[in-house]
Amino acid sequence: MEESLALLDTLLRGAPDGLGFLDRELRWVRLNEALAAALKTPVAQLLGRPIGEHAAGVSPVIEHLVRRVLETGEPLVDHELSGEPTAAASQQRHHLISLYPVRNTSGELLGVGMVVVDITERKQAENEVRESEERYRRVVETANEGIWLIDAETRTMFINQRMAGMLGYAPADIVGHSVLEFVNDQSETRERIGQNLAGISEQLEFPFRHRDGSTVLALGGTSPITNGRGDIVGALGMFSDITERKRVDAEREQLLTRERAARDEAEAAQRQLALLARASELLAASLDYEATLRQIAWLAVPELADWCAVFLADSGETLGIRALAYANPVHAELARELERDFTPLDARLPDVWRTGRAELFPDDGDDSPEMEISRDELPKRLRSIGIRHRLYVPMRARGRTLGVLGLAMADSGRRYQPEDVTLAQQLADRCAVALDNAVLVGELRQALGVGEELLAATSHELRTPLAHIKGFTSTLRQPDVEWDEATRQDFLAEIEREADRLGGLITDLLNMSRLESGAMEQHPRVPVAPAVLVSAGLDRVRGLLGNAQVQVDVASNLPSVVVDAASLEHVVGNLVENAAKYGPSNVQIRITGTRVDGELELAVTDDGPGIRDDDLERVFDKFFRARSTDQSGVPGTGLGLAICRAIVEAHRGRIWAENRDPRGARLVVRLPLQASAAARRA
Amino acid sequence: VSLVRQSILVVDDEAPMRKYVGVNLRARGYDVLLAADGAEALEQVATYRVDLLILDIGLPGPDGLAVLSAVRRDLAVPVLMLSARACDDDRVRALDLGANDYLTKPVGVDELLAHVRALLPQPCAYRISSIDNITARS
Repeated sequence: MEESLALLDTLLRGAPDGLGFLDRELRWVRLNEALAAALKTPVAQLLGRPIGEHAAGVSPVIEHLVRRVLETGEPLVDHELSGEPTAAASQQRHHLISLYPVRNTSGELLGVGMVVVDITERKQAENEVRESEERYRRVVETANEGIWLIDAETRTMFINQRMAGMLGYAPADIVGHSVLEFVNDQSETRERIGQNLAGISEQLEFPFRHRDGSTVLALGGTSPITNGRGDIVGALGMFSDITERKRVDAEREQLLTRERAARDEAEAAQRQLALLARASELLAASLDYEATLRQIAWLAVPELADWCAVFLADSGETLGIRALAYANPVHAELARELERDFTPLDARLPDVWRTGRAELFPDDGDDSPEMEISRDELPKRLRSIGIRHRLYVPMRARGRTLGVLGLAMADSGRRYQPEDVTLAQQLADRCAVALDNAVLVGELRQALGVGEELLAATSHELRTPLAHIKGFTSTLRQPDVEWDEATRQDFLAEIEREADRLGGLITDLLNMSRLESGAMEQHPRVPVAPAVLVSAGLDRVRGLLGNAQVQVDVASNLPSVVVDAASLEHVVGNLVENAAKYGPSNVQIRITGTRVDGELELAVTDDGPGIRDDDLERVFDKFFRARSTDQSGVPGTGLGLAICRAIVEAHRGRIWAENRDPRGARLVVRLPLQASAAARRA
Repeated sequence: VSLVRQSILVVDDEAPMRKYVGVNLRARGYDVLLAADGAEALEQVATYRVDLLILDIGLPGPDGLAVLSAVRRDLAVPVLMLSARACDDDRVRALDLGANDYLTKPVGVDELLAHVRALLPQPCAYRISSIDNITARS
């Protein structure tokens, strides 16, 4: 017995845990150092004393637990006790206490055995783990990213607040449910989750389904979860909700698209305005009809058309191409060919001209039956260069449709849209006004007889006598030269001659312009006998004839002519004066009046130098002066014969010049006798 | 005072113009040649020494511009165009063809003479001064 007790004590002493035995009176019978240390009391102070007597180490809680084991006879295993930190040990200690009822062989309760294990270290480790977990949990819970953990069967093991909230749920609603219940496209998602579970990590957009049925787009990364042996036991996904971002992106994209469209529209409008402005400017600067036509055609190319044609009705009902422009220079040859050929190119053209309404012929594709019809209307050569889309706009001015502006698309592959019609119509209207102006100006010029050429020639003709007057007057005024009296008289005579010449020229110009404006038509016409016309005409110039010999031979049986007598007398006088002026001083002049082919023929014949054959027709041109050294120095206006022709033509007659053999000229006037008579009757 | 009188050819189809220019030049000591058309002008240039050409444009036969071109093939003689044509085109064409000056009719004596003096080479002054020097030394 003693031996076995000694063995027990040795064992107790050597044991790491605290071990002790209390009798039924709760007195310490045995305890080892480890227990005494745990109770913070030396073994000697405890042995033989009741547990409650000692207040220092053992808490009333332990006493209570021991009493309960004694009373119930039931063991208490692994009860955890945490002691308050003491001054000696700042650290709080944790123990596991186990109490066992101890019985003798007959089952009589002898006391309570106590085992105390210090679990402070373990506890600390546990706490650390728990704190760490807590930290992670907090991170996970408060993460801005959604976190979703599933097992190998896609069941949710964990989902954080953020992820559940994204889908409109609480985490508890989702845990335990398959992730597949929360996606829209199950098959695709299943496949992808399957891949995750097969060990593939990915970063992509996941379309989840919100509780309200809407789609929640989440951008996320997923990765498989493995256990210690490397088996895949689930998958972890971390997601951020990009629905909003997507929406903002989409809105921005839409905004950008709208802005681009608006900008394109503004630019197009600006281009159109620029085109119209340029058109106005160009057309305003052009008063010449042909130039205006060309400019119109080239205005629309290439901005508005690959081909542009100006169609005008030259006479009656037929429209013809009057100007043509093309964007592609390789078509120059074809363009020349088309311009030569005035046939209407398209059956639809005359309609536009007649109705004055623009028409758009878009290419509806090769299969459309309409296309077949419109194709037939187009000549082969136009189809061959790809002209399909056509836009015909009427050119309207002062309430009339002058023609049609034809626009066509070919090589560029562009198509006309309905809104192009407005721009084209604006362009056509401007062109029409310009064309109308050019016509008016042309008519005006013709009416006034002040074409640019005539104006230049007139100014030249006026300047010549003026130059002589200026020359001789300034000569007379020179202080450094003393002219003798005869020379002074000569200069003064020159000045007077040139002043007269200037006066005559002005008179001729006035007559000319009156004749060309048609004023002559308004003069009263009276029946006059040809003999009277001739003698009166001769009287007008008799003072200018010098030594010329004039012979008059007019048939006495000629009928009267109904004419503007003063004008025709002027013609006769002018022809006689010319013969005297350009011939030798003793020139022989003969005036004859005969009836030829129902017409009255008045002819002035001379034996002067004649007229160069080249000039026979041109002597009737304004300001034409015959070329002959013999004639140089003969003053003249260059208008005399032009006026004669105008007068004769106003009487529906003819005038021409011939040379005689061997020398001399013959100027012939023919006036219709029938017409004169008819005019009188009328 | 000049030892050699300078010679000026006046070409104009208008007799009053030839007379006006001619009398004024002669009165200032120039030798004056006259031509009424282009052919005559070319003949004169080929036959006589000419120090200055006064040339109208509107001439019968070869016109003033044709005469100018022909003259310019061989001669550096100064040419003064004197024309009633006032537009810039004629002026530019004439100057491009080698004319030295261009006056538009009408033109007064003072202006005409000033242009003539400006265009004529001035050998007389040198000759006179050098002769004076020689005379002074001897």
